Amino acid sequence: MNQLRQRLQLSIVRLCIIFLAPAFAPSIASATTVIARFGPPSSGGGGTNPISLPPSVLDTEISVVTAAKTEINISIVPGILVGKRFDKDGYYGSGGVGLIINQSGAGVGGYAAIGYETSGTIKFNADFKQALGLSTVGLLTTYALRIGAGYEF
Amino acid sequence: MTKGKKPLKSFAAIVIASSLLAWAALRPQSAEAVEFRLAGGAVEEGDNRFRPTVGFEFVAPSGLLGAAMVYGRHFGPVTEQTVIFSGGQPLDLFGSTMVQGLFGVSIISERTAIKASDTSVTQTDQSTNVGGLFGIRGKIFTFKAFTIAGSWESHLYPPGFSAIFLATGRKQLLTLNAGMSL
Repeated sequence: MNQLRQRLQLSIVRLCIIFLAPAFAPSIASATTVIARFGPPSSGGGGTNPISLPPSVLDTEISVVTAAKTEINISIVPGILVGKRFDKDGYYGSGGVGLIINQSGAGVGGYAAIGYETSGTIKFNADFKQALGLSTVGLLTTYALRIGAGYEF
Repeated sequence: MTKGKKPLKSFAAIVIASSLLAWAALRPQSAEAVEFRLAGGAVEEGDNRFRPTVGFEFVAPSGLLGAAMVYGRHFGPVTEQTVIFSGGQPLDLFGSTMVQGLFGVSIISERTAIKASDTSVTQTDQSTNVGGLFGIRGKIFTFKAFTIAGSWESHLYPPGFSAIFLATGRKQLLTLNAGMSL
């Protein structure tokens, strides 16, 4: 079991390096958007609880979207996710892989998100993200409906 | 009617039904066609447990999608039945017409009936809710008018007045559907 856990951790680290390196490399000299979103996630124990006021760390998600439309999503739930975004008339869809976290534990898996984002330097953002992961305890499912704002550098 | 004629009639009915389905599936697809699909899959209600669900879908020529999915269970004196009606607009958000994002509206109707064994009285509880539909859909196989597709949908419902704090309950649907344009 320990060997399996070590291999899983190693795989996650490798996965993060593979996706994070190209995500950051081309974006240094071009427009990158950093988005802060707030909304309560569902962590596998039923529906969501009301959002904390002010929002807690669990309710917060930070997203970085590079000029190449690679997005990196960092939150406790659904987890740390790296993927590709596709824009169309303000709406967007995105999908990718990463570390999925819920009450049952953490595992590797995929996510899909759809959302809406205004244009300009300061952007309004609404995002629904659903994720499915696999861990040693079984299937992990999470989702989060969050709204927030982004700043384009 | 003799017993010997029954298999013959059943065979004829199967041949006719199969021929009609094959004709409908193999004819060229029209741009104005409506599409009917039968769907089956699994539903999850926030507890990481999946249970089977079946239903049907309808796609209008404009692309608007309507669906009805049913699931439930019967254990001892308790019967649970849930129907989810949803309608939405698929959008080509993923850079391809094969994968689409979906925004829409969802209506859920849940019915629980409890019948005690020592009486004929049945207690029932019926509840409905309206919420949002978010998801992705992808075509897996297309041949002329016949399509096999998959979807990963979340039906989010506000639990009463907590909606203002973004609280939601979810029915997650993972389905495979097969259908044809008519």
